[in-house]
Amino acid sequence: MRRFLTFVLLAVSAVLFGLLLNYRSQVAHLEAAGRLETGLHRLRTLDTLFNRDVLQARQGLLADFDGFSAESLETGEILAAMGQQAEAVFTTPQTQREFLASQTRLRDLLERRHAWIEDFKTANAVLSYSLHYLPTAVRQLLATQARPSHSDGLATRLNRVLGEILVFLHSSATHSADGAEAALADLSQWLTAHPDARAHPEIGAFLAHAQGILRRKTQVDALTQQLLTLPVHEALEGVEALSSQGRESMLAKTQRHRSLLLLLTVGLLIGVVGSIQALRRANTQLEVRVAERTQELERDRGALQREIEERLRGDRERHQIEIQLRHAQKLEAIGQLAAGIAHEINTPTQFIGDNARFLKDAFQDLQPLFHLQPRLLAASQEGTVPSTLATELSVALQTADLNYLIDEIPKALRQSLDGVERVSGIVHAMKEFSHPGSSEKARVDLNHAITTTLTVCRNEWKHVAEVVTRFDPKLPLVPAFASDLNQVFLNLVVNATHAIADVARERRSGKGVITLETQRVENEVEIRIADTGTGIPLEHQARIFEPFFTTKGVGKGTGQGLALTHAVVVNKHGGTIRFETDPGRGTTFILRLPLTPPHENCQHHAE
Amino acid sequence: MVSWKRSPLKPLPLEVSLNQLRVDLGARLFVDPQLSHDGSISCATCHPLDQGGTDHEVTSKGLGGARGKRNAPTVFNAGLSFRQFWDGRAATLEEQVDGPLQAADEMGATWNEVLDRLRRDVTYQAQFRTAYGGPPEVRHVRDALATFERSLRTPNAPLDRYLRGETNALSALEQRGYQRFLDYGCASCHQGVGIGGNLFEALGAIREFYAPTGATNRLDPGRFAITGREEDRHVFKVPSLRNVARTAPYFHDGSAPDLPSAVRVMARHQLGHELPDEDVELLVAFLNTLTGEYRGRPL
Repeated sequence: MRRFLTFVLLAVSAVLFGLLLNYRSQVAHLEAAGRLETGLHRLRTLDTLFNRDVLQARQGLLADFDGFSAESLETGEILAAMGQQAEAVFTTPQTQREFLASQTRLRDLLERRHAWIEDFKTANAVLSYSLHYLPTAVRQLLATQARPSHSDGLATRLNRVLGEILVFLHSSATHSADGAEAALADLSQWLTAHPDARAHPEIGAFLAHAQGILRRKTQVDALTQQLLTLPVHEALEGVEALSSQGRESMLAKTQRHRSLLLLLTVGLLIGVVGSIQALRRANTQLEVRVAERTQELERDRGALQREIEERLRGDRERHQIEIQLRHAQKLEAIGQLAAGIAHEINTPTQFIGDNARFLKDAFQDLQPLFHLQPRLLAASQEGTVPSTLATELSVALQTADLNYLIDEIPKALRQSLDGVERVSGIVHAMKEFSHPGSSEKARVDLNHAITTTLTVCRNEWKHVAEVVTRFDPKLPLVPAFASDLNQVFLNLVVNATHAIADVARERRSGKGVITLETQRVENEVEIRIADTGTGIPLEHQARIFEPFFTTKGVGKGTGQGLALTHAVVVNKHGGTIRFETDPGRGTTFILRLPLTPPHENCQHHAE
Repeated sequence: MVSWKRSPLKPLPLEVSLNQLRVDLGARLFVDPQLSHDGSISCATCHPLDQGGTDHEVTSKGLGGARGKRNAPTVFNAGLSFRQFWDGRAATLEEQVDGPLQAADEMGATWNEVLDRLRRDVTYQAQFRTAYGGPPEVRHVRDALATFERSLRTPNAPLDRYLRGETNALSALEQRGYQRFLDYGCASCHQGVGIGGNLFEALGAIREFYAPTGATNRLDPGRFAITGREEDRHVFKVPSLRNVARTAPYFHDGSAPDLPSAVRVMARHQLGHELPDEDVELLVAFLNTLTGEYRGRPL
């Protein structure tokens, strides 16, 4: 009896110990680790989204700011839930403290970012509405001039300010505002000489907005820099490192507990076997639980593993997004054309594949003939060709359909070579088009630049228009920023395509024609881009170069294409742009770029 | 079809998923004057749902007839705002509840007296138990009111339908008004799904709102009172323009009695521009297309 009691006591304490171990290897802890991991992963994604939105907003490409609030709300929720999860994951007070400290660092950074983003949004919104308002102000100023004799001088100066501001806004943070400030100073000087124009109520507003834009742009650039360089990423990595340490040590501990639990079960099994039915039942239960727990642990480890893999994949994606973002502005046009380009490449790739398969079949068909050759040679050397061999040969010739193959094989080869050339041509054009370009002017072959642009956007126009090029083969090289001009040609060709597509829709007519010409005119180079599209209605003609003026339906076009084109040609290259249009029949844009820009001469003298 | 993806204005989603038990409880609390010190004022006193969610007073009358400091905004679509109050001092609707409930010139109550009353009421006890699994608690009251307020959304305004591709949802005149709204840059601030309510902006960006000769008692420091930063002086939350035709008078001080004057004030102080009458008409026509539906009926 006494032995039995000791036995029961031992068994009971062993079971209690077992239950304790069981509790400490709770799946709940693993779940908390999983949630912590998921939360951190999501924070990374949100961080990426946030950076993307900041960059897009800076470029004026973000339609609204709702995303920022949603991102910061979700970030806050994830951080708030982290405290409780940490308690379950980190078993010692020391590790728990460390984790919470790193989490607090992260939260502080995110809170600072949250405060900055409000200033960023505010400044960006002012920038945006000032930019919208300026063209309106110019229009009203010019429409209500008391003395029409002034309007020319005033119009030139106002538009120069507009153009310079647009160039400045689209430039990087290091670009100086000198051009825009010079244009503003010139305007102010003119206004001092013309007090009646100065008295116009809109003038004050115009100057306030223009100066406001220059100030805000600098502020927005500084804030962008601050927002993007805040070491959120590093802080996140710190939290993640601790979290994975915690998870590892928790897993190891769970593993230890589980081993102990198994040992204990074995011990119990040996000790209790055959003595007490009740204990046996408990034991069986324990065994089942161990098995269950083991299974769950395995399952959870699997889930964690999957999550880690997913996160790594997320990291790679994130890295890619960041790289893409850095080139966002330059590549936006390319991005829009990407689908078209993929299609352009796909078609030749497809027929190259078809041809290769055809050649493979053809070669197989020809093989019997090849095998007959040596025998035929031997027979002819001996002087007698047996009739069986002749029959064999004629059968083989018939099966192979030699005449057909002789016709088709060279065709297939030629076509494939064409295809390969086309693909490499497109790739080459894309590379050239998207080349970031230098900060100084280089001598550019405009014929080549236009060809490149046409190749890149072929998919945009090929179903809508025929393109005719009349290039002057002796066109001199022009000092220019090649990538800016590529953008200009792209804008004009795409606009021409849209104008033709509108006609085609209205009149259900066939393809239109886009004609591109280059020629030298005295000391300038002239580029003419003509389309057979809708033409520009009289009421729009005066406004097409204004920023944000668009006829492409509310919310569709950004109205920045032609304004930027104008700014690039006139302000950056000292050229001119004008158009001839016949509403209903088409438009021709005429660009002239000087072969020796005046300010370059000055530089020469200065040297 | 014109895509709204790149438009600064976004249509309001038709559905919102919320816990109905909590919405119902919040609806009851919203109209219950027991939430004020003397049992005379409920949330609905200043935000009557049958009048566009606002009392149309310049500033509202609170406990004992006291006048509040700022105009009561509509409670409809308040959940779309990125922060609450004109100066954005509350981050969430839950946080917002404490403000009017405890303000001496609004409901003037304390949480203790409110909880006492709710806990004595057996029907409230039952409702809190089914919705939250326990007796009335402060956090549950906040949550129920906030959840109810999130249900106060007004989708299907003519502009929403237009943005979704129903091109005849706006008349030609209204479409021109929309174009003016975009051309003048209004949508730079009044943007997103709330058509406002997602950023802060200085009132009087180009021409000062508070002229030197203006009455000094109307001087409102705006966010400056919260942050103490000079650049936040007279900075307010850009209000949502949804249902704006139903929420006069306008601005934080209720100083504009109707839409034409509100539009003129905005152009004068934010743009430094005197709007021609034609543009005022067009913009007001557009603003009238922002009235949505609550429970299937126009607000």
